[in-house]
Amino acid sequence: MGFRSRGGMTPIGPDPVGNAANVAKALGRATDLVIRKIPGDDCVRGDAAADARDGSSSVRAVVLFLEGLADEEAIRRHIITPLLADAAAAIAHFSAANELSALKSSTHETLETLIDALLEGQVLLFADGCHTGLAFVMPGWSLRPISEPPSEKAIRGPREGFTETLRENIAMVRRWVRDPELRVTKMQIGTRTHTDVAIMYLGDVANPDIVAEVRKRLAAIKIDAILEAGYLEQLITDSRTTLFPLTQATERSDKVTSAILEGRVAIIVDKSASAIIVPTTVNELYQSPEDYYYDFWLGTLLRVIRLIGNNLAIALPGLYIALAAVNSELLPTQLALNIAASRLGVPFPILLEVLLVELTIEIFREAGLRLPSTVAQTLGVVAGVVLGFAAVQISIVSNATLIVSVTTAVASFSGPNFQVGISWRWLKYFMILGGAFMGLFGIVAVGCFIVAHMATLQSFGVSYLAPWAPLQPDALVDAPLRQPLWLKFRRHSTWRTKNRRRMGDTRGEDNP
Amino acid sequence: MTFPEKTSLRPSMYLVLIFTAIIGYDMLSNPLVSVKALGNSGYFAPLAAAVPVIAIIIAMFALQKRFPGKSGVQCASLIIGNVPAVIINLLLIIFWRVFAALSARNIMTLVSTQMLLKTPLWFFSTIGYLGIMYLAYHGIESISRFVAFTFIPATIIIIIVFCAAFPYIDIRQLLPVLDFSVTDLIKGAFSMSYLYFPLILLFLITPYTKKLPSARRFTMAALALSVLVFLIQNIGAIGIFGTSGLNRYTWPTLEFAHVINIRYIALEQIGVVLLTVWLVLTFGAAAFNYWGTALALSQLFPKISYKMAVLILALPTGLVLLLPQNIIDTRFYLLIFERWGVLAFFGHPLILWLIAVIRRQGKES
Repeated sequence: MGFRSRGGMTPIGPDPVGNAANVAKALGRATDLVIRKIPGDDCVRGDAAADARDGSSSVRAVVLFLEGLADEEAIRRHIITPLLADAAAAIAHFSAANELSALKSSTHETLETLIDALLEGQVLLFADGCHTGLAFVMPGWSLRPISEPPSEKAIRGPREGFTETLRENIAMVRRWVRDPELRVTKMQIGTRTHTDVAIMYLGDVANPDIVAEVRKRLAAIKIDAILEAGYLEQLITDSRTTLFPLTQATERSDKVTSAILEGRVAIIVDKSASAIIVPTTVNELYQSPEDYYYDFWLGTLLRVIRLIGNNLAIALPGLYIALAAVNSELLPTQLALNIAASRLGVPFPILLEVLLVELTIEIFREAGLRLPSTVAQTLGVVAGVVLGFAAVQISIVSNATLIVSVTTAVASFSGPNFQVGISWRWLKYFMILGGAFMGLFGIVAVGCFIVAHMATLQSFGVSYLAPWAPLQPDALVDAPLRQPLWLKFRRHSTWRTKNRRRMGDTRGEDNP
Repeated sequence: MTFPEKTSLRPSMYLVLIFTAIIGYDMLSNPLVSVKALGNSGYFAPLAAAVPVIAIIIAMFALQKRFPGKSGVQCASLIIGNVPAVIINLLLIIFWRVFAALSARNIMTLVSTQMLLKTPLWFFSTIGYLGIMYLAYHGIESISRFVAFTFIPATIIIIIVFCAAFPYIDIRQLLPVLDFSVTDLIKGAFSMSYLYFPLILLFLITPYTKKLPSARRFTMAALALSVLVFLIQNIGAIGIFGTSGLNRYTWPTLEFAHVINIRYIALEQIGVVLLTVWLVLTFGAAAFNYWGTALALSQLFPKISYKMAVLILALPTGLVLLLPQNIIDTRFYLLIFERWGVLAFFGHPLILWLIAVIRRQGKES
């Protein structure tokens, strides 16, 4: 902690006004620091340091909080009012029996720990003659309502996504898993932001080595600020140079819960709506909890479609160039002639033509993310149709290229994971270059390079290509097909869990 | 950041690795060799060649049992002493690397003639070679993952393509069955034994498992699967072209795949699909071979780390692979290596095992 490291611990003095002045000084006379003196003549608000200087021995207690972070109505009702009614009794009640009180509070003996609590949004109370301070949890910051994550929509399943509040996110998972084995351990990362980070896993299922590794990697982070879970993802990943995400980010609480139940570890970060799941494999990035909400035929169909869509998104433009420009002898004669006819009058080589269309689509896609939702759809359609039509009319691009590029763009959205989609978007260009310079061999060579690179990757000790490589037959039956739920007796060996048993006999006596 | 992980291979990986190493080495031209040896009954040649190979596999696993945790290279110095071991192992490594480089060059020539007539050979050879080195550099775990990832789809496609050629077979081309003498059979087995040279890799991967009996069973399964693929392929090639027809082609398997005509399929030629899929297996097999020679070198000279060995071998391999075209007939030298390689690849482990048995060295069961 950066604050503490600057000096030793400061004990709390018996004078509440003096303590409040010290806090105000430590915060650089912050204008959002609210100080209420009890039972002083009045409650002072504004220049905290001046208020502190004016304090006198008649002040029985001082309440401090940061405006906007604490619930002022709750402070008035639960702290100020009892103090004004009978300060001595209230302080005695708060100090001696805070565990029994409905108020969540903690006792601190140093100013530094109290300041940390204040910065977290807690309410501080200094009482006259006491060498300790009390911190009350009374959050009052504005919360975003729970809603469905826009990038991970599902037809069937809960419409519940994480918010930016850690305790709400933890509670969402707790509501799914009412098991005392659900372990939640917290730590703070960031010398300035002191961001709360929670690690969640099932104590009797998750591999203890993986849990220890997660803790070790998080504890090793020395950084001033964590503003989003993405910061942690980049710092705990197994390979910092790879294009592929070696951790899984999601905003869906059911996805996190499902991962925890599989024996994986979830990392939830305060002020971030994304949770991180580790370890992860490339196979996991194409699966969605929704697959299991349908019967296995439909679940399998969805997965196979995703797989085909993903492969099209990577390889289609490269394959098109390879077959149309380099190895055209492989195409059926009529198809080759049709493609050649559609390219008549196009002044660019096919590589340039494809790159031009791909780049245009990338710009549309990026701009579409930032356009107001009311106009994005209309503008997208208009721009796509009008520009596409005009480009074909004046022979800048051919119809065939347009079909290939639009199919690729649509296919790239078939996967449920945005991050891996970006990785494939990058690799698509290598495929295009491979196809243009070396035809079908180039596609094979680039494909081999990609798989070879993926074969070198691992996530927290788990092969990134699992369960394909190493071959894990028990997990392979659930990828790319979806294993029937009534056959999912055991957890996959991929995660090396302590307890693999998941399900017993699901057939009742009446239903043999 | 790396998570500590001990390198080990599951017994099932022996099936995947050995099958890929065998099939990825020469799948496209072997019917030519088999018909030269046994005529119309050439399809028996891969089967005949596989029989003595079983003894080699048993010998290699027996050697591992005697010297647990030691590779064949390390066993050699314990069995015959340091100096002779260094000499014969070094000869093996040189022979192996040159052979592997010549094979790779041969495959690149095939790619050039079948797919990339206008592109300079050095260009795509360099690209492929860098990929192989990259994979080999990351060690056996990465290689085994790559191979495991490609094994199932590639094997299924290859078998489907071979089976798709069956309707075009003229059964008369395959007759008479068993029309050869025992001497011919032995000669055929000898000439086809080069198909199984990649089994020398067992010399190095046996220390990576503790379940030796299981790994041996999977290795035998890999051999059986390879023999099955060669058998189907030879029956298809001989059945379609006959003995005289086959002699016209350098790559008969590819030619017989060209015969296949599946209506409504998006591609005009199935042969190139077969070649493409086989190239993926070849990529894994080449990386596996590269790993084998680099590991052997690093074990022979412990001061050279494995990764250093990978880089050291890059130059000689690159020189062979990138030899200018039409100056040296690499195919001619490859045939010499294929003919006499049996002494190096199979003689070496067999002799070591025999000496260990005679001298009663290592752990005796």
